Amino acid sequence: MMHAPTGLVPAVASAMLAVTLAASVSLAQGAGAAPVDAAAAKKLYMTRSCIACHGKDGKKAIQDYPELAGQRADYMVAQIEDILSGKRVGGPDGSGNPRAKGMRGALIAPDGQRRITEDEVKAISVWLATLEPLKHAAPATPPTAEQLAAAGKIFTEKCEACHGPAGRAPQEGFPSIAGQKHAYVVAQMKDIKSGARANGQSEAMKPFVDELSDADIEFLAAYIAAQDPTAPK
Amino acid sequence: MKRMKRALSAGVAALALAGLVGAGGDPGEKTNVNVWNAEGGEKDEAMKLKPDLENGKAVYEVCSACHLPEGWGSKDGTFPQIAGQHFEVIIKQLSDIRALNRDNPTMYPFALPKEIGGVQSITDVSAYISKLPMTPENGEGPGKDLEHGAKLYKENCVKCHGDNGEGKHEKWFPLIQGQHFEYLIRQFREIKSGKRRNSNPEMVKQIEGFNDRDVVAVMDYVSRLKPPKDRVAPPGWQNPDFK
Repeated sequence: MMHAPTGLVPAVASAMLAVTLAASVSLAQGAGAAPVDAAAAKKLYMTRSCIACHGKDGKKAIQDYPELAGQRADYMVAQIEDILSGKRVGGPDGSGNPRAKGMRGALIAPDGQRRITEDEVKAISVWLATLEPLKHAAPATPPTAEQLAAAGKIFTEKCEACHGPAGRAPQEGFPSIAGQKHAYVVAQMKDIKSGARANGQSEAMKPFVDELSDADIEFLAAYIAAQDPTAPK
Repeated sequence: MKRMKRALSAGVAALALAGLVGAGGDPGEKTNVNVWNAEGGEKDEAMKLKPDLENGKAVYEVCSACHLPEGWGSKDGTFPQIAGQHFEVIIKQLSDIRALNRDNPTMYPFALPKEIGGVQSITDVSAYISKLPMTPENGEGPGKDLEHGAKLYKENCVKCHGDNGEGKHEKWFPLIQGQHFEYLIRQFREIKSGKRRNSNPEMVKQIEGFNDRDVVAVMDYVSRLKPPKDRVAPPGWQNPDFK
């Protein structure tokens, strides 16, 4: 992020602060001060290969990759940057490599240069945040009502403070998780519990997942996946 | 002994096909690649099938997100040019990535049957890719040590990759002419270090003594070997199948 250098005359400094604020407002809300050039961002989303895993318009991601439509822009920018720098990894993916290494491989050239600029990361994220989230169909074998009720109780106690009611209204820096893919949510909880994923707010979440059993994680993820991300916040 | 190894590797390959290896992510269990290009597995099956180019085009759509609709990859070498590669080589590499014989976390999800389909799809998309015209502008090396590169190439590479980097399709030796320099460098280093596990051991032995200067010089030379004119697209060509 931009830091105002010291020693500037106050007027310039406050003008810079205003610019910084406007930028963070637009990141947090998706739209805001800087209008999104949707067509340009969408083109970037396709030409930087994002679409291959995360699906058209950030919906219907393949396998256990996350859905991105409607996600907080500030969260996506931070995660993409962490993946590019190697700060965010995870447990082994299907190929046995740390999760997120595959994404890094598409965006960092063999000579170590980035194939996507910071501005492009921001543009894509702000655009994705403006899109309507995907509402998943019910799973083939849904959890029982008792399991869901128990998971809902855990959610209220442990998850709601940061991710918001039903996971729909997260605090700054935290992701929206309502309706997120079951397999992805399970993988993230396990990776944060094991310490394989330790970037961003993972440290804040770790004490809460440390207490969960694998079965708790399964049902909690099922509960989260079953929430309607399109419902009013 | 040789036969036993082969049987073993075929057995593990069968497990991989059945989805027992890899899909859930037990990284410890991988197909035995001690026998280079072992018989059996999807590679052999795919080689025998008749390609359906229409299905190949449909399968290729997902590949095009990285390799581009033209199959030209990226000049910075992140993604290789695959257009014009030998049918047999594409089948082998795709089957190897899918069976975890070649480590490629970026491509792996797309090599899986649930994304591109079964063995027939391997045949179809490999045929489609092999027929695409090649880029007129591949990424080249710095061009500062080409005499040394040429000498190394003649002494070490010609027997398998040919005078002009054309490879040998019937032996699964890839065509390397027109490939992006940075991609060539990365693969060469990964073959040398053993990271690229499906490398031909003969090549690993052949390049054992190469130092950093040698690697850059010979790959620079290779990046300047050009495909025959009738295999190259005009500048700015766009694949009409994906317009």
